[in-house]
Amino acid sequence: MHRPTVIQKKAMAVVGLLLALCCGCHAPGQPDPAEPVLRLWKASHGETAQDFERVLAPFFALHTDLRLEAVVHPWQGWDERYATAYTGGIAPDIAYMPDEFWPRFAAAGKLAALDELFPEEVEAMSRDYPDNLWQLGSMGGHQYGIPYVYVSWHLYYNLELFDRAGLAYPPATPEAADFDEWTWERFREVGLALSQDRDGDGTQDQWGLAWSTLDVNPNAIYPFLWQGGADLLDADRQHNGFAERGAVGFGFMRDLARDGIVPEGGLHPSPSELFYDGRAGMLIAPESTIHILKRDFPDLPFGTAIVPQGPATDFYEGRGAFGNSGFWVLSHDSPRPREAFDLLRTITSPTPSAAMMEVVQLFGARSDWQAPRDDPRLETFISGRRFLVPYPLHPRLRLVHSIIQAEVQAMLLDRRTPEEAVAAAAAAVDDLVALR
Amino acid sequence: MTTRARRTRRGDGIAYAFLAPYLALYAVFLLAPVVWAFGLSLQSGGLLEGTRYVGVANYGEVWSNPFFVNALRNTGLYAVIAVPAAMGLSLATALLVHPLARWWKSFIRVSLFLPLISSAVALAVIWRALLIPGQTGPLNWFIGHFGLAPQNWLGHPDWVIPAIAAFQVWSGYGFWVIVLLAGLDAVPPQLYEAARVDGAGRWQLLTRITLPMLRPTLLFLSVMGVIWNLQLFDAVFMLTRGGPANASVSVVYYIYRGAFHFDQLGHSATMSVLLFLFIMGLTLVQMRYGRRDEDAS
Repeated sequence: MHRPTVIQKKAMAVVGLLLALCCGCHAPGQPDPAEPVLRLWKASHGETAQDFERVLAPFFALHTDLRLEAVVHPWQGWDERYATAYTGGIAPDIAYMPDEFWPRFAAAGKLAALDELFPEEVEAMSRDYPDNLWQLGSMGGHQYGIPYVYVSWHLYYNLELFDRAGLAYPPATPEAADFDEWTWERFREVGLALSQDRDGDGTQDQWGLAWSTLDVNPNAIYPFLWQGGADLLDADRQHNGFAERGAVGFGFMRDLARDGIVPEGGLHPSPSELFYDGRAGMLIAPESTIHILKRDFPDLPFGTAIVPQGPATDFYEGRGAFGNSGFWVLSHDSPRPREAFDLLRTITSPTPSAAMMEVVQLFGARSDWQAPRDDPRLETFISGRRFLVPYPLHPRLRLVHSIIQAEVQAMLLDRRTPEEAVAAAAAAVDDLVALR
Repeated sequence: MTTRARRTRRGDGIAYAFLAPYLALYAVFLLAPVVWAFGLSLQSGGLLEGTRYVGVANYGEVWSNPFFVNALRNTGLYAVIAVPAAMGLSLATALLVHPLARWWKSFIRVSLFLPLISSAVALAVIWRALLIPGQTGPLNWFIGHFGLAPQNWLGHPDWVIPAIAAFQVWSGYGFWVIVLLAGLDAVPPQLYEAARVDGAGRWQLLTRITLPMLRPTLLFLSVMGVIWNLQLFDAVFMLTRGGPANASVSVVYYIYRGAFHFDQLGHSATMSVLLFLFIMGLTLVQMRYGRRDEDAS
């Protein structure tokens, strides 16, 4: 029989080594249950992994056999990061997911139904949260998420531009005397008064509202849709919720664009910068913007106000405002569900969650969370909580965003009337939610 | 077996041994995913929902999907604008830079190469700043000096594709110039000397010697340029996310969105396969025509 030469032996050795390397690689499928690690993932609101390590140190002082692996990452690439991790079996034990994200993972069976695993503890926890927020963590009769933060979007305005235009400031809270007069009509008048050619060169260089539909999020679009009486999905979440009344909000957005109240006809790539530069009178933004403005634009004089009232007074008093909430969820495949749930309970307990809220400058979801009172402007966002419209929980909700956004843009580009844009979006959303 | 045959086989063995690591990596990281993508294109569903076999149904469905057709059209436009623009600009630059002294040539090479080694995110941030709409945007300020009205480069469907194509040209331009400079270096100087002796002028030198001698380089660049632009993703992802009103969605961006946002992995795989076949077909046509011209010349 032919004996292999030295070269052939070397070739076989190289191939064998490669095969051994491939076969010997630890399959990324399952985390090693013997490894004493609890993995936590969160997209950043400004906090770091070290913040979690600091806040959770007492938990790990009690569980000396475990260590924390906290990953705080950017929001960009969220979908691929989580979809691949949960599909590939390398999901974190606990993760933070907003209300528009987690239903997709729960529907796919990737998240643990907490009430099934830990019924008594979950029942006890439910008493620590306002009902509406707690409900946003449940789908199909099961509790998947424990509320952590909620984000409240209302109006910011530039005091100097209002003074210069001789305009009264909009109401900061529902208790303000002129609250009832703060309607779409008044908002539009104010917007028109603020939209000016300041340097007199014949070109508009100041706008009423720093607003655009080009943002990756639909935060700018939905308030007007809600204030016009429409919702994203119907009560059963089987169809769109805006076919009937959506044209009111769509039409109002088109009017804002046509009147030059918003820059570039609602298609400005970075409208917030116009507010920061003092070239736009108003901005719709979350409560954390107070902190950002004070820190990064200390010379910008600004106030806060409740969003204006649209015609649909039967729906959130016509003042539907954007707000979303975030939840901690437990992976269905966590090798240490008991310890992971204990960690989740710790993060959402009063002291650690309050400490983290201080870092991220967002509002805590717990009923016992004490809102900061160091800035009176925060009162707008606290008192304005009742106007926040919750998202309808649906695994495909984020696709609804992209459909509505594209149709609003098509309308702003005069490719469709408001009615046509609403009809096109409604048909596409109906197709989408009907998909299995 | 003769000694010669044994030596040949031994030589083959050595060659395979050295090729084995690359071939193994190629098979695992390139070939297997391509084959896998073909398999996925026959399935419906996604990463999270799971997939099920549907045969070739996806191939029929994607053509009736107006978003895919729109993305195809946009992608074709990117390539049609970016490739000739990059080719013309880089050829002009290379012809200007080539006669310069070695120091200057090296300096310009390094300067032009910088965008290629810079982070794509950083480049996108710079471009977003350059393309700010209104009079305060640097590009609008510049064109204002020529009496042109300011434009909403990234927010208007008429401008967004040219703006992204310009970004593509700018970010890949350095590479094109460097390859063309290498091509120019390879042209034997004796050809120019002989032509000059025969009384050829600059234009004749360019059209009769330089361009014919650069034909293989130009063919390579045009093939690569078309491939890169048909695979456009990062500029769309970072500058517009496909907006406004899906006017800047490229095929690869649409594939990405389908796979990770819409959880329609099967459809995305189908589109990937179609794009792969389209690029392969186009490349073969380009190569055939390019080589035929080359042979004819």
